Amino acid sequence: MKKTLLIALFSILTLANDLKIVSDEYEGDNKKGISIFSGNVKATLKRDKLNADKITIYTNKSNKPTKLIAKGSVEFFVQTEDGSKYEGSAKKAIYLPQEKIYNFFDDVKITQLDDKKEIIGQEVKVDLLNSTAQAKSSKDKPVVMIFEVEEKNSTKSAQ
Amino acid sequence: MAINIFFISIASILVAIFVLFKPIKLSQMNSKEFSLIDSTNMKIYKIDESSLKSTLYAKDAHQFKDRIEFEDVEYIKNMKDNKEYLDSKYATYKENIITLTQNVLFKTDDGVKFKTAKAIIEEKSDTLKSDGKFTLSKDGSYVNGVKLIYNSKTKKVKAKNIKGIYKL
Repeated sequence: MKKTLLIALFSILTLANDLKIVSDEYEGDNKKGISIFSGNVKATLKRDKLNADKITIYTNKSNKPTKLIAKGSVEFFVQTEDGSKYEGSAKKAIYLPQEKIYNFFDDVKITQLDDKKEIIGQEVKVDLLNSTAQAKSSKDKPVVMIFEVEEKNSTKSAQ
Repeated sequence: MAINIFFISIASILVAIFVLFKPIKLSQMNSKEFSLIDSTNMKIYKIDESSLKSTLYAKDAHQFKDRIEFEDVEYIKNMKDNKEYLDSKYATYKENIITLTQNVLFKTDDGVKFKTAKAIIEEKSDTLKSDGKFTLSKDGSYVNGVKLIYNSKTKKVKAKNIKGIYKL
């Protein structure tokens, strides 16, 4: 009984650090180390979630993922090391597992859930290790940042 | 009177034959197929002008008119840059197509492993197909799904209904 529980616990702990991916279709090229998942693709990595029409995974010689490229209707939820939570959408996303950096491209809408900040831009970088988010604009589309300001209650302010 | 009894008894026998005896249809006859050659612990080597292409080992083999059936099969295929290994409980070889059933395990030198219940190898096109559930793994990462097509030459895989786990 104890052994079974230990095995189950070990499996849960090891799976928690894995990249899980579900899709309708799959194409793999073992020579090049490329795996293409398409059709309702849902990827989960620790607490992060990435949904897209197509996700391409590039692997090294030991079959470890080095880069993920998500394309199509990209929707995401990511959490940095300090616990900041971001969710949003884009047309393209690149994740580098070793650096733990997400880059979102084209019509990016990202909301920082805790601070209720919304960023709209053409390129947004979320660094999970340093817990930072940077936005870049394009020539004709500037970065837009929306803050939700809490209005003070008039009765409270009167007191 | 005696003549009447004779004719009546002949007529009765004829009626009984007509009613009780039925012709046997040839297609209904038991057509159990017998093997032409049976062998145990056999090895088949496939060699071209320059090298050994493949080795097939089987605990039991039975050759029929149109096919060869194997039991406890190990198949090794020598590719240009690596080797491929196939194990299964049963296999049938017919017109350049090998059908493997029960505990099918496919391995390559570069660490790719593939498990399924039934697989078909088309020698001409160098493809391995499996319609049912399969697990494809390499270095701890794996992909589960159905309808797998693997090309040995290009090392490309196609499949459907995928659930994959990658070790980071």
